[in-house]
Amino acid sequence: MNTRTIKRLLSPLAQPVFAIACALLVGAVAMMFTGENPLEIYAIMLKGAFGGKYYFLTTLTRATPIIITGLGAAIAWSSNYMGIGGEGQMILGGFTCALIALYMPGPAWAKLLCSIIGALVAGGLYSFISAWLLDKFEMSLAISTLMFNYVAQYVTMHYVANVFLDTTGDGKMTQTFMVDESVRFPQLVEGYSVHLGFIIAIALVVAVWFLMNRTSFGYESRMTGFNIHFCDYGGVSSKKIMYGILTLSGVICAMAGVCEVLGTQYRYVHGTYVNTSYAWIGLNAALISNYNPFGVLITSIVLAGISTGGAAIARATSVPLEISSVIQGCITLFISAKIVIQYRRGRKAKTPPSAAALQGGEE
Amino acid sequence: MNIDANYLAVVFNSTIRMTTPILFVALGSALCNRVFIFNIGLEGMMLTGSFAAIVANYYTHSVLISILAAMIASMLIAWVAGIFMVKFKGAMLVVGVSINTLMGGLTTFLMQLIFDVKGAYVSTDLVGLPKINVDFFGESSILRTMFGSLTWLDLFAFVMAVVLYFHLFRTVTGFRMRSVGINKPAAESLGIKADRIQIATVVFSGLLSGLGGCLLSMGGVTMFAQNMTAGRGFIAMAAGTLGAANPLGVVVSSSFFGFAQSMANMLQNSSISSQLTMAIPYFATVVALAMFNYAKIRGSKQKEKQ
Repeated sequence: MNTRTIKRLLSPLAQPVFAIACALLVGAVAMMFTGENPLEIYAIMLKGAFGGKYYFLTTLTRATPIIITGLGAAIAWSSNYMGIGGEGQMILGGFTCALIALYMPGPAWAKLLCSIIGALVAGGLYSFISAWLLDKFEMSLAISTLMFNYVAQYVTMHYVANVFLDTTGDGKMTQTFMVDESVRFPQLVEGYSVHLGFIIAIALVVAVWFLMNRTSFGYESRMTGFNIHFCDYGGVSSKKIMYGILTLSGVICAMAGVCEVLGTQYRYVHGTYVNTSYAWIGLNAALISNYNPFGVLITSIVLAGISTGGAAIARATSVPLEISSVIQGCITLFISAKIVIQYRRGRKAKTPPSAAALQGGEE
Repeated sequence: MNIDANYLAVVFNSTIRMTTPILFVALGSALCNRVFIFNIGLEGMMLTGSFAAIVANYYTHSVLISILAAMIASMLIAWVAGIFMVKFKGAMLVVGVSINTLMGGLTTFLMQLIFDVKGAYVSTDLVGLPKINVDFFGESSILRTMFGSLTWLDLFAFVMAVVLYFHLFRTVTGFRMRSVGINKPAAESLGIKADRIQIATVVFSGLLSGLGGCLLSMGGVTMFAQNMTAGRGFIAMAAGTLGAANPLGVVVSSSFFGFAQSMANMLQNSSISSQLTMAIPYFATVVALAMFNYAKIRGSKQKEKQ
C-alpha cells in the first residue's frame, strides 16, 4: 500500500473520528459536573461495554436491532430518500410476527417461516404507502413516515391491549402471550442473550453491501441519490427505484422487529421499541457511517456499547445513564457539520472530491 | 356519558389547554418552513424549554424568571441548531435528530443531577403559571367552565399567531423571510442576508418552542417528567405543515390536534378505544396533507394546460 491508498482509505474516517472526539469531550464536561473523574468513568464505560464475555455479548444483543434498522435507513438515505419511519416499520414487523407465531396452527417451521415473511410483508407495505404518497401527492417523506410511526404505535397498542392481551401476568405491561419455544431463535452462546438475529444482521450487512455496490439496482439507486434528473435523463426510472428502495428499507426494518420478538423478548411488548429508540439509534449509526453497510455494523456495535456502558456507569457511579444519549447526540451533530470536509476541500481545491466526500456533501 | 352544554364546555376548555403548547411550537415550525428550514429539532427545543422553566422555578420561585429561562435556554439550543444547519451546511434532518437525542438525554441527565430524582420531578414548592381570573363572567357557569383554569400564556399563543401573520404578510422583514424561502439565491442577489435571516428564524422558533415547553411544564400540573413532550414537537411540525405555514392556518390545524388529544383523554373511560382515537390526529394529518397537495398539483397542471 502506498501512501495514497492509505489516505484514500483513511479519509472517510476523519470526520467520524473528529466527531467522536468532540462528543467525548462534551461528555467529559458533563461528567465533571457530577464531580467524577471523566477518565475513570470512560474506563468503566469501556469495561461495561466490551470488557468480558457477558458484557460484550450483551452489547452485541443490543446492537442487533440497531444494525438492522441502520441498514434500512442507510439504503433509503443513501438514495436521498430521507424517511424516518424505521420505528413504525419495526413495530409493525414485531407485532405481525408475534401474532402469526402465536395464532397460526401447524408445525413449528411453518409458523416460523410464515411469521417472518408476514412481518416483512407488513413492514414493506407500510413503507410502500409512504412511497406512494410521495409519488402521487408529493408528500414529504419525513412527515408521512413520522406520522405513521405514531399510527403504528397506537393501532398496535389498541390491538394488544384490547384483543391479544396477555392476561396471565400482573397486567402492568401491554404485551401479547409468549411465543412457543419451538419458534424462538436459538442463543448463539448457551446462557447468553445473543441470538441468531445477530448472524442475520451480519448476513444482511453483506447482502446490502452486495446490493448497493455490485448490482445495477444498487448503482441506479445511488445515482438517484446523486442527481435524480440526470438519472431520468439516462433512462433509469427513478420512480421504480424509489418504490423499490423504500419498500426494501421497510422490509429490513421489519426484520429488526422480528429479531426482537423471536430472539429477545419472545413476545410483542408495547412501547419497548419506542423507549429503547432502537430505530433512531440505527438511523444515527447510518448517518455516522455515511451509509456504508460495514460502517453501520461497526458504528452500531459502538453505539450499543455506549448504551450498555452507560448502564454500567449508572450502576457504579453517580453519573446518570443518559450520558450515553448526550454523547450519541453530539456525535451525530458534529458528523452533520462539514467542517473537516470543507477544510480538506479548501486545501486542495483542484483535486476532485472523493465519492465519500460527495456523499457526505449531499443535502 | 351524557352530552350537554356543560360537557361541551369542558371539551372546549381542555381543547384550548391541549392546543396552546402545540400552537407555539407549530408557529415556530411554520416560520422555519417559510425560510426553507425543515426543523425537526423543535421537539428537543420544546423539551429544553419545559426543563429550563422548572429549573428556574426551583431556584427562584418566580414565574417571570421561569418563562425567561425557558425562552433563553431553547433559543440557545436553537442557535446551535441554526449554526449547524446554515453555517456548517449540515443536513437539516440530521441536525434535528441529533438535537432531539442530545436534549432528551441532557434534560434527564441534569434532572438527576439537580433534583436527584429519576423519572419525574414534582414539588409543592414550584409555582405554576397564574390562572386568568374568570370572575367577571359572573354566575354563568358555562362560560366559567369554558375559560376557567387558563393562563395568560395560553391567550398569548393566539395573540402571537395574529402578530406573526401580520409580520409575515404585512412587513418588510416578513417579505424578506418569505423571499428567502421561495428562492434563496435570488433573495441573496437582491442583497438580503439570507443566512442571517434563516438563523434568526430558527432562533425565534426556539423561543416559541421554549414558551410551548414552559406552558407544558407549568400550565397544568407544575412538574417535569423525562421526555415529557412525548412527540408534541413532531405533532407541531405536522400542524405547521398542515396549516400551510400560515400562522392563522396553523391556529386551525393546532386546534384540530388539541381537540383530538383532548377527545382521546376524555374517551379514556368510555367504550371507544382511546388508543385508536390517539392515532386519529396523525392519520388525519397524512390524509389532510394528501388532499392539500392533490389540490395544489391539479392546480398547477391546469395552469400548464392554459
